[in-house]
Amino acid sequence: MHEREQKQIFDDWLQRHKGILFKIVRAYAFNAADQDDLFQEIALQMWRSIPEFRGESKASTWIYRVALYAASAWTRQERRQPPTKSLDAVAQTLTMTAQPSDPRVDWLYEQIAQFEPIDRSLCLLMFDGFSYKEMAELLGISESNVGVKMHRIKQRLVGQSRKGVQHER
Amino acid sequence: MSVENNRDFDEMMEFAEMKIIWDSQHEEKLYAINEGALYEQIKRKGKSVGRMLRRFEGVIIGVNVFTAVVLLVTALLNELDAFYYLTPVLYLAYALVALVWRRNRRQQDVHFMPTMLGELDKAIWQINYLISRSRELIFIYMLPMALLFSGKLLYDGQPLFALAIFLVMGGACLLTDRWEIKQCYLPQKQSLESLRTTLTAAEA
Repeated sequence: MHEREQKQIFDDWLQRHKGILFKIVRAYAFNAADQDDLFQEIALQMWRSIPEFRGESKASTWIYRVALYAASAWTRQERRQPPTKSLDAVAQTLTMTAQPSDPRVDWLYEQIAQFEPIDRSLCLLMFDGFSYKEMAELLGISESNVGVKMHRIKQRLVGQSRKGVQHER
Repeated sequence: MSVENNRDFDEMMEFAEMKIIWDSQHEEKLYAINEGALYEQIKRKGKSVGRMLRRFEGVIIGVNVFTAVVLLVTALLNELDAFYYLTPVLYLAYALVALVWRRNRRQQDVHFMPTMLGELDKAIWQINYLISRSRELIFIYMLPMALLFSGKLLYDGQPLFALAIFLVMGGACLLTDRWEIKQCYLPQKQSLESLRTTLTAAEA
């Protein structure tokens, strides 16, 4: 694939699906430097995946898979090695332009952040309207496995929500 | 959100609320992308692992062939003894082995599913590939080299020096190899396997 064609697809994906990337970045990284670092990593993996994309799935599903895997791999690396300031940090690619306005959305992200990387992925997919079948296909596991995991995730989220309500009372 | 699998009505209501909250967010407006800087970063880091691996294999093959040719020409021009014809043959054999490795790796590379589990399996396979290549290098590269050079020294009437060379070269390579595997590859492999176990837990 020619680089110009690859860049066209990349720009198009970035324009159309940046919301997906922002959600994943916010769910996996918790300060500006880390969010920028993770965003670069996801964008890089997205770029590399373009020649492999055959159009057999929707572009959004493909991007979700690539981005979630990149985020999980990034989380593993971050755990292994403490983040170091590198030259990459000089060229900032992602900047927060507004403060999140809804505390309930913040609460959801806080809860998602407490899950293990795989469950975080499932949680994001669930909130973004993926069916169990789609999640199973995207992750490469069975629907029944997705069902078991989702049940646990929902129970935990509801439990946390109830705890929050009781705490407020 | 797909709700057909929710068994508990209360839960479903609470999830419906969470979904409404989730959908109300406007992430697009929360961040700005510096597209110029991003594209620069991609161009800089964009050389994929696969491409680097291919280049690495190419370099190994090229260097071994080049060394073999240089040694052979030197031996022919200087009418050296039989030992000096053994080393080019050995280097050509290494180039051949590297070619076989490359062919096997490329055949294996295409068998992974385009899913997260497939990505994990591919990453684990690549780590295992590096570990086995690293172990094999000791036996097929350094050991014959150490044997060859110490054999030459023995032939020249320096048995103690030959033994020392063999022990030092062999020992150093073995230790370096073990250290590399333990420090670089095994932690990565364990971490990937743990992620895979989490993903496939409860799989029938």
